[in-house]
Amino acid sequence: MNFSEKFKETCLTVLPITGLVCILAMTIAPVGKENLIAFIVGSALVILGLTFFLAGVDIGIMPAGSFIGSALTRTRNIPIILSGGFAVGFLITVAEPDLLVLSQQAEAVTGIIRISSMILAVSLGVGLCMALAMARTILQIPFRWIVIPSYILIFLLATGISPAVMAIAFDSGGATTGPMAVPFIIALGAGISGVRGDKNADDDSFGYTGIASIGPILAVLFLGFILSGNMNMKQISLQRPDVLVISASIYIHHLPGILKTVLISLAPLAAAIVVFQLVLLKLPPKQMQKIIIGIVYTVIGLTLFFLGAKTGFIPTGNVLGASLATAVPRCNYILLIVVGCILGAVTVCAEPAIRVLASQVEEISAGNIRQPVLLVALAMGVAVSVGLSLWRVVAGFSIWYLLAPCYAIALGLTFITPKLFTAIAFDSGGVASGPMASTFLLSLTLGASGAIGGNPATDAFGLIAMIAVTPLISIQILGILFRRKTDCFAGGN
Amino acid sequence: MEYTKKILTIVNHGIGEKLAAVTREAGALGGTILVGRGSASSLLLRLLALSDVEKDVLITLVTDEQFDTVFSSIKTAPFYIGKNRGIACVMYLGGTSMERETAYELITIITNRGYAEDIMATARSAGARGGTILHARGTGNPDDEKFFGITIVPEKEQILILSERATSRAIKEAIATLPCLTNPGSGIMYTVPVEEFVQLGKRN
Repeated sequence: MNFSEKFKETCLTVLPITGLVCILAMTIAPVGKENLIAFIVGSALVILGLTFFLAGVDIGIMPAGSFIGSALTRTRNIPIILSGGFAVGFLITVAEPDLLVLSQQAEAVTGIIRISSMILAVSLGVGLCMALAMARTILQIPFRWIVIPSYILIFLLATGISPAVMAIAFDSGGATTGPMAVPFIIALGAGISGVRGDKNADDDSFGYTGIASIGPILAVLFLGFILSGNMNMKQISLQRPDVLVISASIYIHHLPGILKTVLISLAPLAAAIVVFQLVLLKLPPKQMQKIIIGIVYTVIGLTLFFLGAKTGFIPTGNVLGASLATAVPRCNYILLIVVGCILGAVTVCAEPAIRVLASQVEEISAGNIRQPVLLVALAMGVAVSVGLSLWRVVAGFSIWYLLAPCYAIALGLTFITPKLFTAIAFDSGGVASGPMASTFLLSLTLGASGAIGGNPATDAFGLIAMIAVTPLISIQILGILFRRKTDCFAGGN
Repeated sequence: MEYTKKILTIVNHGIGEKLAAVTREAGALGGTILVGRGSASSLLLRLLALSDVEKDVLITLVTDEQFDTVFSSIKTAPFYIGKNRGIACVMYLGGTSMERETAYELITIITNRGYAEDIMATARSAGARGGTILHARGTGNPDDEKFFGITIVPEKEQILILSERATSRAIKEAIATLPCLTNPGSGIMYTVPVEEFVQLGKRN
């Protein structure tokens, strides 16, 4: 919670990306002086933003979430618990800025899915899934019996639907679990298991984010299915990032818009906290004051973070991708794929919500699963997914050859992985595809795809969907290894 | 062999394990580490809500023979550099010192989760210099019935405040007026005399 400690931590996670990009830019993949400066300034803003964000999450969002989770459970009233879960899920999703962007895209592409109906469907989906996740905990249904049928349903629906709607559906799964929502959902889960005295309580404190990110996918697929009769497809035209002229005015120009977006996404969450405080929590004044200060830090942090990401990471990522793809063209693009792997590995560590998840895992496991262990497993997972996605950009085969086996392995592993790790794995799948991936890694892929002559729209979809699935595998494997290790040393439990 | 003294050491998070190793080398047979949070004494940091620091609380039980070497190993351990300070205090077990007046007391308050911030604020205004908050669970009243096979237990916060005997009365009186202690069933408070108290990492 110490500010300077948080600052050191974020420096350690962001500076490797900055260093790596600088080295690449100065050697094999020139990006231009302007972009490089913008990237360095952007990194500084991202570091500062993450520091504020993590401090604010610790002081405000996490306590609020866990107080609400335990207060709901303590009522011992199923209708209240389920409707509370539904309300939280619905409210944090309905104002998510990424969802609005995605809905606009969906309307433009399909011509039949309306912005309002999509926002409503996805929010309902997340709300219902949150209620389902809470019901699961109370009724003690194993986690895998929720996710396996859900993903089978997703894949069944997906086979009968156009690839564009598919892309939107899978993207919405990643988009709705944003950096504000994830810590809150994680804390809610921790709060629910905090009031439980039984031995399964810790196993059940994760998994809410994982179940919540199923909601949007199913909602969009259902929507697409119902409306599929008279769909009128258009080619997606992704907007190219603006060409940057680096000057102070850029930051001032972007600031109000970003601040507004952050505030809008926060508003329903803040409203929910106020309502719960008045009706259910009745926290004493000092505790409430602290939560409010924490939320203010979160707003400052996210604003700085997005400012840095938007002005620095998106344009540079794009140019870097194109530059790498054309740097040594006769090498079968091996260089591009290798560099992509490394960038993927270091970038995921700077994902805001990942840090929150990792520290919560460390806390719940009483220090048994240290943060670096989880981060390394995640980094390896994301490295593989970025590598495979770039390979796909180069080779141009269908995303299904990657997604289907990955999900099959991930779902199969749920039978042999310790329960705690299955839940953590599905959570991190939703969390890994956060703003860092969707700004930096996505624009890197788009840049590479543009330079090679691929189809940017489908390539981009592949990346986000892959980043959401590989952690499911890598974290579950970590869990299996972990159990083997503890079995050896402690004789199991 | 009988344990006669309890040493309570509060240091920054991460040092607890190392310190426990040092005490074991000095003869202690074990130690228990709890994770808590303390708050810095800076007023500015408190106003900015940035005062929380994670703490390790190390509890070591020792016999009379072990006490001197173990306690001095805690005092001279090389971990207290810069801001990594801490405190250590000794309590007698088995009521051997109940007659004597000690210079320090350890005030312990156990209350429902959420009240610790307000208790600390009140304690500070009554003269307390700091405190450590531990997360805990109540063992549950008989009426904390099962709910679909899930046992629901109340979440608690345990607050430890070490203070001089002269100020501890004022602190206790101030805290006792708070709703978390006046409402029946919401919290308890007790004090234990402290025989010895040192601030770690302070040159003197």
